[in-house]
Amino acid sequence: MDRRTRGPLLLLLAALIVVAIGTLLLVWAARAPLEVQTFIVRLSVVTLILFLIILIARYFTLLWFGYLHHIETTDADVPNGIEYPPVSVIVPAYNEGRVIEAALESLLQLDYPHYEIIVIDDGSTDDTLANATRLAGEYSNCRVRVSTKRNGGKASALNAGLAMAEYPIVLCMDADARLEPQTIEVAVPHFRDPSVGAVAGNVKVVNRVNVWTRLQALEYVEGLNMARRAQGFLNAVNIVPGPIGLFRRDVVIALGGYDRDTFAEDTDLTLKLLTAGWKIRYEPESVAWTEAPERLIDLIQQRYRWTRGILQALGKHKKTLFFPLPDVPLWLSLVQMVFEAVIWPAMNVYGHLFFAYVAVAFGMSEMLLAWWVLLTLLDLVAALATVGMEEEQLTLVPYALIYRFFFILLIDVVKLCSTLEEALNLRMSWGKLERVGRI
Amino acid sequence: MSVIQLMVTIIIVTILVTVILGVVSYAAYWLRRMRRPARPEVVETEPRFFYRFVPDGTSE
Repeated sequence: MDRRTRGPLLLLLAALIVVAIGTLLLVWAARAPLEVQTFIVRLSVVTLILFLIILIARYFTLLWFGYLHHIETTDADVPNGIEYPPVSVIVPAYNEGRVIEAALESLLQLDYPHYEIIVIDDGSTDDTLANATRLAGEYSNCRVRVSTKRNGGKASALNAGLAMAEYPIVLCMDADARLEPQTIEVAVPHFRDPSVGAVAGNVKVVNRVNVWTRLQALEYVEGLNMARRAQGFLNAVNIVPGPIGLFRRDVVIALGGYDRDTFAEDTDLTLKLLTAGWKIRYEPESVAWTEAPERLIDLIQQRYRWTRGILQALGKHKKTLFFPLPDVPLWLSLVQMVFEAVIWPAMNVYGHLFFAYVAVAFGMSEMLLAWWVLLTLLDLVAALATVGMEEEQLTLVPYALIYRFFFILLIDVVKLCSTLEEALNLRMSWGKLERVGRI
Repeated sequence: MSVIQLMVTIIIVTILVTVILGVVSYAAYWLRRMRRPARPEVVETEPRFFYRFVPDGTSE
């Protein structure tokens, strides 16, 4: 076993032992004399309250910082006469024949004075190249260039695009994303601050066709974008999302471009930028609409890749995790990622099972119900607040009723299983999602 | 059965079913992955950035 594997595996084993001992103690306590049972009930109440405090603190920290970012960005006026430097839009595409034309047509509608679109066909085996080439050429305010290369993965396609890009700011996106017309125009002014290295955009789900995709739409608004908004207030967004991110081209190249040793090249590049001391902002008006998985198995495949990719990227920066100085904000950012990727899912799954058990074993059913009502109210409030801030569909709010007790719990189980695979260093592949072509 | 007991039962069943669904779906995904033939390892020989050829004989 190599050193990279040993640490996470030992941690995981320790966690499993603690869980096993806890479970055995609970089973024993259920059969124990009355005074022991009373003690266990009191202990359960304390644990439940602690769990709630952590959850509420997490929610309100995100909501508060997110609100401050909302105020800041809503009140900010873009001065007249601002210069808009030309921008290169890089579109890596592998077997995106179904969606590439729609994606390019949306890019041609961007409201920006001067930009180029670079499509990198990453050795597709379908008609991606032919469909993209059909739209290549010069347009009034932009030009479309299409290039093909041997298949080497998304990171290598993005690197090829970076090499072809001629302008100082690059926008990296997914071929299945559709950008809103104002996307570049509202993001570019952030680069007037010379310490800003990247700007993360706002990803939204386009295909709200069933319960899975609607729950994901709510998750993007209430979970992912709210966290990004809160991080944006601190200028330390820790994941510039793959579907929409703007970067200083020279900075990305100086950092070696996208690395190919993780399955979350967007997270990896973001961490490299933060480590190098660059600020990363969030622009909620830079909107990319993307297709979310419509089937459970595809959703699991996506989350499996995200979880393992984030853990791989974090593994490359583990030294910083153990040494907060000199860059405390970066350390906090990494700690938050570890918390969200591993600690919180483990707490969430174990907490749910623990409370279900004590409700049955110790007759604490009223307590369980009160806990459920409180959490659901919290989710409803958070959904209302974030849907309001994002000017999203109000029809997403009722999904908050099953958001935590079903969707997040399910995703957290998958995250834990994926963490276990990463700890065991099992082999993985990209696992490309089949596009339905709804953009 | 009171309303409270009914709701608590629904909550407990939902929690258990969700956890089981998560594990079973993950196992199904794992089996699907195992059945797929593994792609051969690609040896990284090409440079990370390629260089554009400029006709006058210089390259950027």
